[in-house]
Amino acid sequence: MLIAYLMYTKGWHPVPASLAGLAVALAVGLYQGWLVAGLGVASFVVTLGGLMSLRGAAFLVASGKTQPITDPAFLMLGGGLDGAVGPLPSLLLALALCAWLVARTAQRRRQQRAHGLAPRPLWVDAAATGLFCAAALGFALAMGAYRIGDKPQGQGIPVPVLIWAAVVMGVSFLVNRTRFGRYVYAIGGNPEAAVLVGIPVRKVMLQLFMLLAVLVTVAAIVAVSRLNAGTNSLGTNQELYVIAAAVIGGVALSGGSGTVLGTVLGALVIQFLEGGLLLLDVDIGWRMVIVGQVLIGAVVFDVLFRRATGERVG
Amino acid sequence: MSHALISMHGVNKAFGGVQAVENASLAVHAGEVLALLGHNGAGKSTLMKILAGAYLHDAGEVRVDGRAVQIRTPVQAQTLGIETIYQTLALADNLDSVANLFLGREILTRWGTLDDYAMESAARTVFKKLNPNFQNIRVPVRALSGGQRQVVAISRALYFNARVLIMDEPCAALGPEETRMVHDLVRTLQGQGVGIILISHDMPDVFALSNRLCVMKNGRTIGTYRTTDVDEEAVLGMIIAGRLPQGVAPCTRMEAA
Repeated sequence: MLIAYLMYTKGWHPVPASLAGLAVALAVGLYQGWLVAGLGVASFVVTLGGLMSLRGAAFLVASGKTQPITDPAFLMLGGGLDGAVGPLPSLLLALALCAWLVARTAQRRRQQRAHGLAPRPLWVDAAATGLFCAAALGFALAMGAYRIGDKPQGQGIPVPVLIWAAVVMGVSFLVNRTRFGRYVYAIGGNPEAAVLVGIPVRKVMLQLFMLLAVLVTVAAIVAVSRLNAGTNSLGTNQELYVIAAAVIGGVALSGGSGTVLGTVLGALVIQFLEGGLLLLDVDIGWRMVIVGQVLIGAVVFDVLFRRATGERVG
Repeated sequence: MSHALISMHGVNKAFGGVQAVENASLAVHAGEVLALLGHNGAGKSTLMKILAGAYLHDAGEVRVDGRAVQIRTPVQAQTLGIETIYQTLALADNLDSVANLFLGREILTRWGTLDDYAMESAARTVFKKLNPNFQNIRVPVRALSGGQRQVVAISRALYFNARVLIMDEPCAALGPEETRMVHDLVRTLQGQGVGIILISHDMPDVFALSNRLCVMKNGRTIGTYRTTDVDEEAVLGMIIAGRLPQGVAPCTRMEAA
């Protein structure tokens, strides 16, 4: 909302406007992170209260008026007619991703041998890598073959999908390969132990809020650009979809478990469900009823599964 | 002779209005096992958490090699060579044993990312020393048996070359075989010159392993004796009634002896 306001009403260029949005998000993240990590207030309360007052703030920014956006470069970020990279670059990107995946797998096997550990059987690694490569190439080809109206060439991969892929890769890297990610899991699993082994719990939690602020800004930019406008009601109810996607993807509400890939799959499941029901021409009312029940079902399954595997239910 | 590895002099710690530790003093020397005894709530764990850097003491002094030090964080304690095996083991249940072994002290690659394979092979070596049958080191710790969890916690102290090792009820949840493993380990470490503080309620453990024993009651260290100078009855008398044994010379070894 703020980004759109700065661009439309104040006539700012998209880049400084987005940076201003990022700065505000970081400030809010810092404030909430300080409340949670520094003072030990329950994060649920802080973020729920924050949600309410920030919605109000979004209304105040432009007195509730919708802020349309016309900058073509900015609108590309949200996809749409011109928001795709075209068939050839899509294919090249997919090929690059495949090459990188293969190289990664080969490097992993080499490192495992170097440390005297037996790698997984070759066919398992090959099959897993092959599956992801096939998915990436198939997606690029399908999007490349997709034509809208009488445009001379296919669409290719939409820009928001590329942004999304970059975010997924960045976050997976943080989670799996850095100390920060390891500490986040450790704090989720056993906060007391995390303190005792000397993990700077407060610092990590604060960093986590900062990371969240950056991701929220990215999400806001894409959402505003997709709608061609900033409104104060943008993203209403999205918080529930986010929770649903994470839980369906195997994130424990009690903390400490979950993977990036799982959450991605969870988000895809929810979106497939939504999109599928929409295409089937199901009533908006029924759509909400069904999605809500799926959400509850996912959490019920989560609880039952954890009870069955003997994990304490938080 | 040299200074004590670690000594605590007149240490106080209060939580709100509760005086958890009051004027407690003890010392542990290289190659020595000091048993720390007392009721639940006598202040043993609090005293040890002060050493481990989890709590800050209000008054008194902690010395390492005779030099007064301030241990403000667990990391500082680890830097001084003080490793702690907590009664709760302090493991992150959702992570595997390799991740737990190196938690807070991960091996990094040149690019500052986690070097999982280096950690895994190092972990295998350490675990093998303690328990050759311990193979499933890549599953989350919550799926492991009590003995295996204990191995992970002990490995953490071993791998980083502890000079002083604090063990809080190390055998409390273990079967006979695993208990023997812990006993052997304590003796080996003792032979290597590690100073060990053993918190235990189990009298056979205390008499089998310790050189000296120190009894706490209501936050005070009331008496420290050579283990061979006292019997079980005298020790229980001290723990329960605070009655010091007659005609036995205390052996605090607070100063260089």
